[in-house]
Amino acid sequence: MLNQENIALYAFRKFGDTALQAAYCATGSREDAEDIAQEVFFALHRKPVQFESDAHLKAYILRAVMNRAKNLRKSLWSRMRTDVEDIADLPAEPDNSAEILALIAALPQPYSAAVYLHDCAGYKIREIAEMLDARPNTVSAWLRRGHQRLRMELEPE
Amino acid sequence: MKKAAYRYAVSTVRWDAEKRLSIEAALRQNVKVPEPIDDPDEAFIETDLLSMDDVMTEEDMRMERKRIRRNVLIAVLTAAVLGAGGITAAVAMQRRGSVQVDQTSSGAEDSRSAESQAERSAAEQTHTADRVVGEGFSLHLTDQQDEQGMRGYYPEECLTESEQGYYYLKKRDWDVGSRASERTYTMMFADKESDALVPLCNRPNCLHDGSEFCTATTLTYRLKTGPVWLDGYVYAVAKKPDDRGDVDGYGEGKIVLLRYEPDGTGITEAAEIMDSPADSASQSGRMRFGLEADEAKLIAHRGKLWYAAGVQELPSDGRALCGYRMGFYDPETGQGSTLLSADGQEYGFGGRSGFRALAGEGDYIYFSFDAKGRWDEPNKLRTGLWQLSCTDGGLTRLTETNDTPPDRFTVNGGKIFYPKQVEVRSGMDAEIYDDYMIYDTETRTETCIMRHTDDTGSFVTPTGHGLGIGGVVAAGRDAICFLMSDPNEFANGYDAVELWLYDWDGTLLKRAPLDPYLEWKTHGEELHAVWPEATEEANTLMARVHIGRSGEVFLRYALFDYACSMEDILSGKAEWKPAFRNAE
Repeated sequence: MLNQENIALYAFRKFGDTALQAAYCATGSREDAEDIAQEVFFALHRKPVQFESDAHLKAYILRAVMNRAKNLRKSLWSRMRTDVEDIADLPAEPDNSAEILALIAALPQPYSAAVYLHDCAGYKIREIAEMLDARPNTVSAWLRRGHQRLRMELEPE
Repeated sequence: MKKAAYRYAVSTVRWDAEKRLSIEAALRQNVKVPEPIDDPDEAFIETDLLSMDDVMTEEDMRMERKRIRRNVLIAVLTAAVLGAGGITAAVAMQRRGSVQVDQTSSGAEDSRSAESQAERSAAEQTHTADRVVGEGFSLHLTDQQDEQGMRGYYPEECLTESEQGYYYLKKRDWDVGSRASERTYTMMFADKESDALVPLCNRPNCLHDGSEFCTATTLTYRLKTGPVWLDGYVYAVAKKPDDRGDVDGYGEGKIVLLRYEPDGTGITEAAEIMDSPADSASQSGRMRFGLEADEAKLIAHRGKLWYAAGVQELPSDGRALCGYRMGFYDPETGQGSTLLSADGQEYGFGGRSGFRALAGEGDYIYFSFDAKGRWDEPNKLRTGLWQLSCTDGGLTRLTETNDTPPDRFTVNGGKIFYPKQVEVRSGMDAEIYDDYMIYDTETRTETCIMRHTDDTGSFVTPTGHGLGIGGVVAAGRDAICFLMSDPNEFANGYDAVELWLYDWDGTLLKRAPLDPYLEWKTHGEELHAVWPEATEEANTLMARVHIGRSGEVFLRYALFDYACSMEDILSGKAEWKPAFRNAE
């Protein structure tokens, strides 16, 4: 069992960037991602809970991020698909990261969330299915389509 | 794109220093916090899979069936004795045996009455204790059949039909999103005559806002199943938290069987199924993703309501425990019986053990069970499809798997149609697909009628048409209907192109183009099918043909139904119409 006096601060220090990245992939907007990610930690601060391990804490944070992203997306569908301008404000990288981030922002949310959780967070398909309340083969389809779109855009025929 | 490039790009999204400091300051509040020690990237989770060593042997099965039959006989005889004396509760059965007979409430009390409170208090004292049999217990079975074709996996994917109309659940819009409120619903009624879709509440000027007086939206109960119509009433299984102020429904409470008046004039607790411990597991993150603690399935078959419910808890010692009940309730007598039960069973990290699907046909109830981790309980339920006899309680394991069991299936003429998950490849190309199987309970054989292959990377059906399986639209009496997609059409944002209809022997009967839908492609919409959606009565494709913008598929399961009879599809005269004129 994690024994932390301030679990929210501990979680933020350990998984703050992870939450922000997940929120970005789920919303496609840097601004929304910051709002969502920090609210997750504030909520945990307001109502602390216990976790057995860092893995559980991480999963809890990611699940909370995804839920809040779903909430936001429900009302702000159009914003989520058009925040590519935000990407241009990111610091220049020595590769095509900005382009990739723009593509991620343009992905439909389930696809992007599934791709992030699978490729970045390292979860298995069945774990993602539990996290997103979806059937494993649905997640599989989201992954396939997400990968297809990323490949499709970056490697046009 | 390489995975490394994707990961690198994502990793560039980080808090800037100023923002990070301000958040930390807000979180600090003068509490000293140790620095993290471990690398977060190493925080992977191990999944426990069921060991095949745990699989029940044939001898175990034989003894189990024998024991169940014996106990059912004892229960019936006991009931007969007690019924003659007019006693409502008496003889105790096994404390944790495979067959336990349950005391249920008379079903007449109002759920909000003081009397009901007293009953709950009494029941709490007998948590996991001996079960008793009540007056009027009977195994009398009617000819009524489970309307399995109208039921999906989630409560909001279920319809039930009465003479006047349909009942179904609609997710409440105003609180969709938080993990608990994803499972709060409005009980709806669709009038056949007027096609009106209205909340099932006849309270004048009701705002349908979750008030305890609103039968459609009351938060006194957290519905765990869709509605089921039987003998003039609508039934559903719900959790009733002890603390009504617990808006998330995570506190202690009871799993109860609710009976709705068909006109929305009231709700009655027809029976109490089991105690539900506080969902400390979800709150603490012990169940990794905060899934709900309780789940239930409910069907009506042979004149009885058959339920399967499971709960989980996290005691202070950190073990993850769960329990379940499976049994039936007879609305005619107001009595019921618990047939299978377990309490306090320890399990591992692979998720919660429990019932995944429930259906009835003929003399049998069929269910899918998922046994996770260190699952070991008296009934020796293991992962797979099971068959329970309505007449003698005989329990048979039909299929074995050490993987994910089907979370939906349809039974027709002793044949079970279900998806079987297949995981292929790994890494960035990892995918899980369903092979679609038919299990014949007569010959005890399993046949694959639709298989994915991965030899080309794009999935090809065995018939070699180059189309992929987009899902199962329906499994009706005459045919099983697949939605087929064309990967080449995916770039257009819409890849569903045909319906394929198979008979129950696995023979392809018809390929029907989806031309009527293609116009939607121009609007950027996507057709997504959730399974199953066929009514047995009308053998009609119905309910849960979901149409929404690409990417919205897992947010909305609103009633958005188009109907077309399978006969019309088979004859090439498919005409799709909204199932309800007022559908959203």
